[in-house]
Amino acid sequence: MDPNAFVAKLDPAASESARELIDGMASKRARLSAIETGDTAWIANFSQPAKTHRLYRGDPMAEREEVAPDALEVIGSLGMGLDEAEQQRRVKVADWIASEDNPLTARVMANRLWQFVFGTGIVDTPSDFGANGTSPTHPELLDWLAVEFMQNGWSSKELLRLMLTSQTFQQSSQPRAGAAQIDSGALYLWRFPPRRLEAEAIRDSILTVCGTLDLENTGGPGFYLLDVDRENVVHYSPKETTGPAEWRRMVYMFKIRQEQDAVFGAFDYPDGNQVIPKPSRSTTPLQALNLFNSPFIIQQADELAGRIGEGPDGVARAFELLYGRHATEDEIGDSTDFIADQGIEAFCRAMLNTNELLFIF
Amino acid sequence: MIPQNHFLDRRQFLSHTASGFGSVALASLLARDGLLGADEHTRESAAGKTPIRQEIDASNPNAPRPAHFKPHARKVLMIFCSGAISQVDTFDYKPELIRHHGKPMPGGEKLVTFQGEQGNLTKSPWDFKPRGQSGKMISELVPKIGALADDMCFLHAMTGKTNTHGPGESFMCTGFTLDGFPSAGAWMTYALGSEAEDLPAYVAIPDVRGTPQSSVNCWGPGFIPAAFQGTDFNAAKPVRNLSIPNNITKSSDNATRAFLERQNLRHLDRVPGGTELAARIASYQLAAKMQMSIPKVTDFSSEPAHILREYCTDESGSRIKDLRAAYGRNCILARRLIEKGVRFVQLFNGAY
Repeated sequence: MDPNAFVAKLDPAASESARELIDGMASKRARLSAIETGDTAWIANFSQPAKTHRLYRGDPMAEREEVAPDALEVIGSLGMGLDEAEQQRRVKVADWIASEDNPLTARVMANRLWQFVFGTGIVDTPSDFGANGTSPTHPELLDWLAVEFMQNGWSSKELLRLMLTSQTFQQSSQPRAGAAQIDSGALYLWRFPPRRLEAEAIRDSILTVCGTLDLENTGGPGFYLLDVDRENVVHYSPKETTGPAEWRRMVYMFKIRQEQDAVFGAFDYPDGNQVIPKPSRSTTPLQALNLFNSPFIIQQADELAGRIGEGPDGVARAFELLYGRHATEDEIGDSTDFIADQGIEAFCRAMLNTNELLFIF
Repeated sequence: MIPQNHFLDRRQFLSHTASGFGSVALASLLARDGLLGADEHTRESAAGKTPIRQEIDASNPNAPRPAHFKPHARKVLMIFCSGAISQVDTFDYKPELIRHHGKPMPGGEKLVTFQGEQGNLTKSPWDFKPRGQSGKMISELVPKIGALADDMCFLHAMTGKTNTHGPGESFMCTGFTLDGFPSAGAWMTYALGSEAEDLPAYVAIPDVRGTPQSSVNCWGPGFIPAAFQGTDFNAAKPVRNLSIPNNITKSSDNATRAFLERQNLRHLDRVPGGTELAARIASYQLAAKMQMSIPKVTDFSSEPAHILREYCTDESGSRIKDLRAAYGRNCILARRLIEKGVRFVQLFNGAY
């Protein structure tokens, strides 16, 4: 539908804000196109790689016969010669990985996206489709998704759209009598399996509902949650207090190997030197201490208190902001009494710790 | 993550144990998996075999898990003096080193290491004497420890492949010089859980001067779940986020936790059947218990005066004495944690 025709049908106020959005979109598109057609960057000089030898028992000092670049024999051969041109080596590997005849790549990617959406992949060992991995719960579905993925030009966006608009994703997380007895973990997705958000999403959510998330500084240099002491070796210590400079999405946080954030590190946040295909999701009392007592939470609770305001409207606003729903009568009553006794900051501190905020269900 | 052949033969086992502490827990873990075999909750692998994976209840990852045999030792206190005095100056008597004093290392003339070119070999500046009934050769640098020679077990079979602090510390604590591997305590906690639910399952006590060069890697979880990492605190620096925040009274704190629980229970009513949801509710009760029990462990007022003196905690007046007193307090803390049921305590002396 033509957006202008749509805007014409709106009332004047809505029409004006819609026009602003459309204009904003045009300027963003122009910027995007400027970036895409802008200066090109110099990356590297290409040179023919040195000869490759088989190393006896992996020992770099024990060179044996010269070998051509190739895949493992059991998987197949890329048919490259000893003097294969440098660029062709990478082109052939890339073609081989992304070949429609390769049974793995599309399946692995479809499975990863499924895992992002549902919490557990169809194969729940996302980096091991081999003999030590587990069998798929829904093999035909995985095959079908892999074919859909390839046929849509390997578009992860299209595949995500397919999953997110499916009945399976949109079903409620309410338990059903009988089903829970057969499959309590909802492995077969008879309901949406509730799960806790990961560390980054918890922090981002808290900043969002408290109105403190910096949405201006997207991209660009990252921020530190650690103080850096550059001595002979570099030392890091968690920042005791944070301010607007650190209230950006956690994806922009400088990730330091072997150093964890003082609050969210306990939430199964993988270390910077790990490749983790599937983060663990544990529940520990140290997480509770961090989320209940840390200066970060107390500060954000104060910000939230200021945002929702006093009185019954404040309670209603809190439930809408944090849960995206109206408060029940019971909740309004209990909350109002609690605020009268302990103050609105204590109410906000408790609300930021609730399961309903921290879980997808 | 775990070798496919999980029945290590003796030679493999020895080569693993020689490479540090991490593999001790691994060996016990593998034995357990072999014994228990398939679990009904474990998905079968594509090859039709049961994958070797520890069954952990994510809602209570530190629940105690029985060992497959009755163990002789039930707790581990690992005292790690990172960057400490050399073994050749203390307990490792090297007659050959004395004979080669002032000469280049045989076969190592062209060796260049991270620290640059090598100088000549040097014997220890301290004399060694036989001590105790066993006649164990011990240097005069440590006379008081030497007096206890018959009560100690010395293992002079450890070798490593690095002469640099950071990788060496990783090697000692994880069995690998590279980053990214679980520490011994993390393995132990992963395999056996904890018997003290109101205390952290695994505690690392860093020196008051800071952490070792390899830092939290010494008690990190590596590639196993983060729940099994060590909790670091010492007698001078309490557990982070343990105490009630400033300006909040104890009664208000309790009332807030009670309100949080009511709100979580209302949610659980609407979305029943989630063990993770229930586990999070329970974790706040456990956290409140920790707030009571950790200060009891770190409060030394019940320690008799002569014990405090023996640990040198009353010393002060110079930097050395202050450090000795601080380390003494960490030693008492380590002992008290072990007594209260913490299975693995790592005590550090030295920092980078």
